[in-house]
Amino acid sequence: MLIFGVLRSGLYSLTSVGLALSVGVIGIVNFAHGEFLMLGAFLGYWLFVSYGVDPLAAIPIGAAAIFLLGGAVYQLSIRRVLRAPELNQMLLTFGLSIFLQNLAIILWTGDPRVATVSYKAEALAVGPFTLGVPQLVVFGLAMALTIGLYAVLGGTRVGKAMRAVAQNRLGASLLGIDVDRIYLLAFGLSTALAGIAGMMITLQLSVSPFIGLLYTLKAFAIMVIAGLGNINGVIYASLVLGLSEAFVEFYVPQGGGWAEGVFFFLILVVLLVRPRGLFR
Amino acid sequence: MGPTDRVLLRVERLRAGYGRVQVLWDVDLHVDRGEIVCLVGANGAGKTTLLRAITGVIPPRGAVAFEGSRIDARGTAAIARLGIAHVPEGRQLFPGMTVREHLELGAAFVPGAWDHRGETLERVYTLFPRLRERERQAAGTMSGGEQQMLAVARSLMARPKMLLVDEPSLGLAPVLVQAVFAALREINRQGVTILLVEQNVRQTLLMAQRGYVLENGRIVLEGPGPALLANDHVKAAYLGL
Repeated sequence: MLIFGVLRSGLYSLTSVGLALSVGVIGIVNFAHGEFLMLGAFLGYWLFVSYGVDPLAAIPIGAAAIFLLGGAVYQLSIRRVLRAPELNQMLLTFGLSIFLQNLAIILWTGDPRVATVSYKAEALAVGPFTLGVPQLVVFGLAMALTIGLYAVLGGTRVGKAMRAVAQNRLGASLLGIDVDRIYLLAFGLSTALAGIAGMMITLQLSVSPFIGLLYTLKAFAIMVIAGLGNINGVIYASLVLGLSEAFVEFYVPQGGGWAEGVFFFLILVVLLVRPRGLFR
Repeated sequence: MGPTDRVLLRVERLRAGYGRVQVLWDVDLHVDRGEIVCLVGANGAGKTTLLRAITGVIPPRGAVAFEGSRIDARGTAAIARLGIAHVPEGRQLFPGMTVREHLELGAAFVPGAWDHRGETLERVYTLFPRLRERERQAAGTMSGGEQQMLAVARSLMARPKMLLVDEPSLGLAPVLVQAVFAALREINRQGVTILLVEQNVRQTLLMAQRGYVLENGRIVLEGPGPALLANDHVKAAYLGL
């Protein structure tokens, strides 16, 4: 049970760390975050079905494509509402979410699709447990990417510039940091991370235009648990959510259905008990 | 006009403000290479606004030229990369980042500064030994004086030609004010031109070669520091004599 919870948290970390980047650095609450994940999933699906490219091998291409798409979306829309009231920003990203979802429905219909890779059903026996190979691979990769992002933010010039912009925009620009370019980069990176998470989803679950919303909501829950805009706490908060869901699935009668609502309960509890987040 | 020109910064007929509220009215001012020039005036006279307009934090109208080239249409980051370092009001540090990270960032995006960062860092630490002790500490946990030193040190990491300093003595104990002023004199001695905004009028005018007095958004007096100190209006309005 614990292991399932942990494995699940890998994908959650990857999705939420992207959203936390957008909220933390740019201050944009991106309701369309899950839609970039959905687009990544479709990209992974089509590359696999049409060209036989393994979704994992396609990650570099997919990440680059979603990065460019995210960058274009930033230039065309997000950039224009940076100084607008928060309500306008939320309406914009919410509209973007609806737009992308419906675009996907028009292009690919609403039917769920499944990509069956050769190792989909393979499992490894680890001690007394049997674990799915795709789940293990996805967890490993997602964690590696999340930790890789932390390393970039902590150890490179651009990463430090991102943190600086997040903490004090004026202070950063006075040091010669081009804030607008950092925003563009952060948004592109944020969406690319969601896209990668989406491509990983094709390995395990079905792909449909509607999968985005749930991940957006869960990523929000994780951000609230971590503390809004706190990128470092995301990994632990993902563990909290992954473990809680697994716990409910196993110990609550007919918990499978309830598990999908756990994030909502966690948001509520955290906001009531410790609104600044658990990991600050 | 060229890089060898005597005048480093020239401001002409500068107007600026916030929204519909105009704060500065046709300000003319220049700073020569190697000078310390100070700008004194009461609260709300427009001193901070003037510095902000020079570095593009708020959009200026009128002309601002640095080394003979107009900079008034450029963005803040681009102006910083030309070699004008602005130590702003309120310091604008990054509370969660360490002293060392601040200093690295100071050098990271200015052409030429990154390659010399080791050497500049040594110089900055010599100037502010306290910062070397606090190297790994987060800026948000430091005292006001240390934060002010860090704000100046961070801007020096860019190896600027010119330093604009906004009220470095604000909120500091007298002994720290002395330390900051001594550091500014030393920075100037090392070849950095300084435009200093202060409410600490006597001390600033003693240190500066020239000064400007700003009242209600207009320059009302200018001249050598000692001459301004002896001026009857300055004495009455700012020195309480």
